[in-house]
Amino acid sequence: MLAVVHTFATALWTGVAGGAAAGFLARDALGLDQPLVALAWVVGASLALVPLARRVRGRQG
Amino acid sequence: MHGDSGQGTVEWVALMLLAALVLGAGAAFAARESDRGLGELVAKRIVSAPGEVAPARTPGAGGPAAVTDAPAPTSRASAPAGATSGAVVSRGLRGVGEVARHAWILCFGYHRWRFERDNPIAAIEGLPIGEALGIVNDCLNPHDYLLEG
Repeated sequence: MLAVVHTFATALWTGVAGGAAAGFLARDALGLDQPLVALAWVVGASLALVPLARRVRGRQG
Repeated sequence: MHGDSGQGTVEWVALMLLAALVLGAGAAFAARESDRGLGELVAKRIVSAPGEVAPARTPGAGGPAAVTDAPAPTSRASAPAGATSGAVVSRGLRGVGEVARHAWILCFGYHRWRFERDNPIAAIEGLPIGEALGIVNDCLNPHDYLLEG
């Protein structure tokens, strides 16, 4: 149970942190418009979650 | 009262104490569960080389003999040529993911620098708690990025 909670919290934080990093670059560093900032957030969150998902999948199978 | 400089420090100490209290309570409640496998898993990950997991040791089987039984690290040079491009892509993805996971803190520094540039007096007084929370919200709240830009 604790491992499941830990995995969930890690995934949640990884997504938020990855999205925040890409969103910050798009919004503050590059000065892009809102749709592109939202797109950058989604891409950043996905990129940060990919290694975590591969690690979890590798551990399960 | 002679001055109110340094009041931010008191507020931050109170905030840190509150955070420690919440985390301590969480640890106390979590410790009630009997998840003994987690400790063993953490110990294995600590003693293992990256990319491999140490074999489980039976009680009393430690010592130098157990060290020599450990598997040799796999050689990346002996991998087939087709697998190397996949490994490079995988390593690149992992690197981008690591950067994406840690670059968010730059946002804190940037917004703090902007606040100090716009409010020169605040640089010696400390960051007001409301401003600090606003920076955290600006940098981490997905709503700001997805809907407000």
